[in-house]
Amino acid sequence: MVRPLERLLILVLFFSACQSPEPQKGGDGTVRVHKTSEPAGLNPITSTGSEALEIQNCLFQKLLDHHLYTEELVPVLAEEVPEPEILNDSTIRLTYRIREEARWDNGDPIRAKDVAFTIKAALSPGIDAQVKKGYLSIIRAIERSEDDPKKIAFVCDRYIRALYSTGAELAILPAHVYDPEGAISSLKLRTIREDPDSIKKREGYKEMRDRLNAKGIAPEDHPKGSGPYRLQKWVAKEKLVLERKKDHWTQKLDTTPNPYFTAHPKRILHLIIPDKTSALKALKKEKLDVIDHLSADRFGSLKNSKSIEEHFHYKVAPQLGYSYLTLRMDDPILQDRSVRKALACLVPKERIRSDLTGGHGKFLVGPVHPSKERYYHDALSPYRFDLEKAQKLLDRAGWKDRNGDGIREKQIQGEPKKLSLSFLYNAGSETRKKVGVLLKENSKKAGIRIKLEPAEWSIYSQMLEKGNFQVAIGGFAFSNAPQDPRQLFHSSASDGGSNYAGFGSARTDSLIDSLRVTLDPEERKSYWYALQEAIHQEVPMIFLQTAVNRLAINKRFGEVKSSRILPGFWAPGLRDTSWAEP
Amino acid sequence: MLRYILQRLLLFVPTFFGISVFVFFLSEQVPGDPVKMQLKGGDPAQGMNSPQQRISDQAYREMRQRMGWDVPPFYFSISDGTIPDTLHRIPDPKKRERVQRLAWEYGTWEQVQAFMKARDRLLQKLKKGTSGKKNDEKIEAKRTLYSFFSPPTPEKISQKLQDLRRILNKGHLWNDHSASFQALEGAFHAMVQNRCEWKRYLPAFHWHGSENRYHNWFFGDRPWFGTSDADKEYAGYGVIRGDLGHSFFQGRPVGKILWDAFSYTFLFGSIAILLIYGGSLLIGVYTSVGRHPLKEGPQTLLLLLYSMPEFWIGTLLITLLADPDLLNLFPAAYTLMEIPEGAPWWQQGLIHLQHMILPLFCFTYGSLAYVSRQLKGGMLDAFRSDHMRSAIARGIPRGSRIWKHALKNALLPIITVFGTLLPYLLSGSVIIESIFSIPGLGRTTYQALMARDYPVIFSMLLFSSLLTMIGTLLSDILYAWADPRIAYRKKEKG
Repeated sequence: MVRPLERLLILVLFFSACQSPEPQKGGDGTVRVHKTSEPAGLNPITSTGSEALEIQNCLFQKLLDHHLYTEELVPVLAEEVPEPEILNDSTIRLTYRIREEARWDNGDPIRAKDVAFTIKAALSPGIDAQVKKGYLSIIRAIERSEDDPKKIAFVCDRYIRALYSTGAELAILPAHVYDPEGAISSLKLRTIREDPDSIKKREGYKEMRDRLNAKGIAPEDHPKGSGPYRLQKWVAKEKLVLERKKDHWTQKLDTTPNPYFTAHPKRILHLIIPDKTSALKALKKEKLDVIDHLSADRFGSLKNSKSIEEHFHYKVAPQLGYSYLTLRMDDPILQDRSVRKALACLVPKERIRSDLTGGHGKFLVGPVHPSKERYYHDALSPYRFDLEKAQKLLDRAGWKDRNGDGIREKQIQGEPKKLSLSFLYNAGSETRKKVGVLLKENSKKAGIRIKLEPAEWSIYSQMLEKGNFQVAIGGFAFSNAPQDPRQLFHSSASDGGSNYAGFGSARTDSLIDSLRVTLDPEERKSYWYALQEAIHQEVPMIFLQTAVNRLAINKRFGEVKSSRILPGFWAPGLRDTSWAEP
Repeated sequence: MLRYILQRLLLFVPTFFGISVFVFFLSEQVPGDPVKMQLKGGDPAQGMNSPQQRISDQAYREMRQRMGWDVPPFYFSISDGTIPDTLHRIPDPKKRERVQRLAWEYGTWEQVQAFMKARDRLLQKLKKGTSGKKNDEKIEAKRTLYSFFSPPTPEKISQKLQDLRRILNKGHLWNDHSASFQALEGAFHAMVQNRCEWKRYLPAFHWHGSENRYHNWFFGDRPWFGTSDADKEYAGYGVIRGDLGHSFFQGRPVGKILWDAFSYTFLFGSIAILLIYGGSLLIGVYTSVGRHPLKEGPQTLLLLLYSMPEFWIGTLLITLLADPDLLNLFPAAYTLMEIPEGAPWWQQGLIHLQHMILPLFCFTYGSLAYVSRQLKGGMLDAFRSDHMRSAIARGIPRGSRIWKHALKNALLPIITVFGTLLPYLLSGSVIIESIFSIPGLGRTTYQALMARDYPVIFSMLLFSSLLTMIGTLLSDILYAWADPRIAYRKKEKG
């Protein structure tokens, strides 16, 4: 007779016996990366999500890219970063030459016609490249040289992002794969822009359109590029398998100036596990090598785990982004600058940073990231929690608690108004909710009532865009391109753009317009300083802190440098110390 | 019986159609613009927006057309009398909403249109001059124009027009913009003079014909007979001809997406059904026969579990049983399954089993507790009935009494449960599938809902309603088998 306890013991032993064999720790040249969701598509001109970017960087190459650690632009497909040639007041020319050794998988050299094809394809009708189209709108003409098939020049608007838009925005696609019939290869850029309907009738157009719009899950739709990896398998909602190409052209190059040329792992697996608890367990079992975007709590609890400590490095990679509160400036209550300033003094930034976000972010004064030292206005100091100052500001502005209910009132346009505001956040974000609760508590002490208002993500975004809010919390993530403040702070972006607050005066508008076209760094600095001062004075937004990305990376890769460029590490650059030298 | 089944199957058709219409109407009420979501992306997981270039009206129009969102939703629409049948032709949802508000306020469509045009013209004129001389008044004027619609009552707008006049004068903009401003003022007065509020209270019926989203989705717009026009872009063959359309976000045929996901859900669902019914037969019968204090053990345990939610038990199981620091018995995620090449079948089976035990447990424990409880009650009732006593009297052996006579009578309540259990298990569970990362139907539906991926949502809802219909039909048939007194045809007179 076997007693229940013994029965349980036997069961336990049975299952421990049939545990699948320990993963051969990297002996097979594989890196396993965790993802919470899969990309919505992999074609570099039609997909928009951030998940796609990381994989695209392995599959495709651009003319230029940002160096992972110095963040300067470095040549990838191009021989060098071009100097802009100033044609006149409003236009410049950028000339690129593609590297001799750059090749497609079939051995054909990468040529100017491929670059021209990629840009024209993104601008063609029926291609889902609406976001890219915006970036490419500055290109006025493409010039190709008769005698050098590797040379290409762009005539474009004099714009601070010209180098980025022409070189580092689009990954180059092989024209012979996506448009073998040559539907758009002979067309001029102007024809595509001015007469899009004529293209739809051209032979091969429909096939090209379908190839470009395909999201890439089915094997026949797998994206094809010049990067060191190819997509070997995509199992929907499960994993994406990237396989290193044999004898890739970058292998002969020196990788020191350009980390994008490194490709150590034979395979990179992107494993999709939506639940973070399960993913962390898998990490503990070393079934995953890298996990990113950990929340502050999870990151904290990881650090307490012995078995993880033993095998993993923790990294906090700063990111080019920040969180903010935005204040709707045409609201009857908030149009008073003193109220906005008072609110800025009521946000307990220090507590938010240490209690809610692990103390990893940095405070900032305005829209310039503190890491961009040249333009960051460090003579200004960010608003800090100061109850007395807030109360003084409100008193002076005529907001007083006359009926003793703890909430201030004031006559606005002849009507008595209570100092009561709503705080919009996206439902499901615990951290943002807690920020709201903290603000609510602090504001109460100063006589302001705050009502929390959660909304599901798509509704939240809509409310922000329509300006249907008083105070809202949000975050912005930026790319490494020179920042263009137009979308966030120009008055024209207040109806449909990302200027949710409705900020902008003639002076700031002209500062922003100058910033867009001034290439000289010193001159730019003075404009940026003036803009930051204006924003600091007007308080359209309260800047909370910079964003960070918390990662855990297996120690078998040695000391890994983290990067500000998402996802914070470069998977093809990870190299297990036990792997043979390439 | 056969005739009854046939009748029921025929009834499926109108029910299915009715559900499709109902689902479609519900979706119309959901806020969120799928076209914008498709264009903008954004990252709800991190709560970050990237300040992108503004999406041009043309890009929006193009995408809207590609998604088939540029036609009216249904064959007809009923609205208040102020809304014309051409409202859907305005692509920008923001503008559509503004025009709708104005129309509701003033009632005359032509005048409202003229007013909007005059406003847009002035706005354009003000915008054009941005690069030249600029002043704060220009921005102030634009802002006033933006704020016309909250709310667009005659008093508010006339106040705003006065403000605007003052601003234009102050900023020395009057000379350049007086014509446009006066046109706007004129349009406003015409709108106020022709105001007919009564139209709001009058229903209006608009007929849109077969060029609508529902028709394209359900019946398809490709011709049924003959060849299709090679140059025309079709929406598809329609659900009724087996074409569920393409997912907005994955670009793949919906049928394929659901089929891939279904294979996982079916695997777990069918095993779970077997376990639930097999398990509850054993537990139900075991606990109902004889009296022993320990007999209540399994049921008590199950009921205890039954009162705890799946997401909690699931997370708890993973935390306790899949952690190298505690008990490392099970893998953490189904998708991490790696089967070594050339492994013999039994090893493959073991690896599968090991990955399936925890999710299967979560799938079954609740229903198992419920069904076995039902069965136990049924069994106890049956034991007390007259025919059991007569069976004892007739000397029928104990085993046969329990398994043949009592059980068949006790089955009725659990057959009822079957009708609801089938759709529940086969349409997947969002929570369990997410925790154990099983790429099944539940997760697919959840993602589609979050992304407003309507082709996937519609198909999924139709699929689960179909399952519910099949489930109830099956349980009806099983009733007849279990209890011959239940007959599904009219009693013949006699």
